[in-house]
Amino acid sequence: MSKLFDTTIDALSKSLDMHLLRHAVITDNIANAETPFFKARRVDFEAALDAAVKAEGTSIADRGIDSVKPLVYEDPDSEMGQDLNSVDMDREMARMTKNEVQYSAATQVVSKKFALLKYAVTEGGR
Amino acid sequence: MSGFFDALDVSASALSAERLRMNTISSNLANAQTTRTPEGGPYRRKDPIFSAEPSRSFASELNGQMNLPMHKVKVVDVVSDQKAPRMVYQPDHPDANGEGYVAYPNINTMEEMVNLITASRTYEANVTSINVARGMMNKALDIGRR
Repeated sequence: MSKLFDTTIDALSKSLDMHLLRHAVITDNIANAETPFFKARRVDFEAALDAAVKAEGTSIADRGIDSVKPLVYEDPDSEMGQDLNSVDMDREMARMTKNEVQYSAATQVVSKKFALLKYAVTEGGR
Repeated sequence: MSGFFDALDVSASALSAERLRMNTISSNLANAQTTRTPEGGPYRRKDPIFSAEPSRSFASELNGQMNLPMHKVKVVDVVSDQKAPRMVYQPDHPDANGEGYVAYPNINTMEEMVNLITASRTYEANVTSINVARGMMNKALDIGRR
C-alpha cells in the first residue's frame, strides 16, 4: 500500500492539518484583539514537516510524518499596546490570507494526486 | 473537522462581545443628556470588560488537544464610570441643585465614537475570519470531487 499512497499524500494531509491549526490560532488572536493582557500566538511546523519528509527510511512510520508536532508559541516580535494586548490586526489578517492560499493550494495538489491515481487504476481513463 | 468548528465558536464569541460593546456605546451616546436614572443622579457611562476564557469543547477533550486551548471572549462585567458629572448652570431645570447647577453625564462624544469604530472594525475582522474558515472547509470538501 505504501507504494500506492506514498509520502506525498501523507505529507499533504499533515500540511492541511497544520494549516488548519494555524487558522485556528490566528482566529483566536483576532477574536481576542480587544481583550486586555492577551498575547498573540504563532504556529511553526514547516521545518519539522520538511525534516520528516526528507528523513531516511522507507516506510511512512519510519519517517515520522504522523508524529510531526507543531510549535505554538507567543509571538516575540509583536508590540504591546496600552492594554498589554499584543495582537497586531493587520499582521493577523495578512497571515490569515497567506495561510488560506497555502491551504487551498494543498487541497488542489491532493486532488490532482488522487486524479492521477484514478487515471492509473482505470487504465488511462478507458 | 473539529478544528474548524472550534475556530467558528471562538469567532462567534468575539462577534457577540463586540456587539455588546457597540450596544453599550450606543447607550452612552443616547444618554449623553440624561439627568435621571432609576439609581438616582445622572446616567453614568458604561464600559464592558472582556476576558479571554480558555474554551474546552467536547471535541477537543476527546482528541486530547488540551495543550492548545483556544480563547473565547467573555464579557465578565459591565462597569459604570465613576467620573464626577458635568455641572451646568441651569437654574430653571427641575433637576437643578440649590446653587442652580444640573448634573449631566460626563460623556465624551469623541471618545465614544473612537471606541465605536474600533468595535466595528474588530467585528468585521471576525466576520472575515469566519468567511475564510468557511472557504477552507469548502476547499477540504472538494478534495476528490471531479
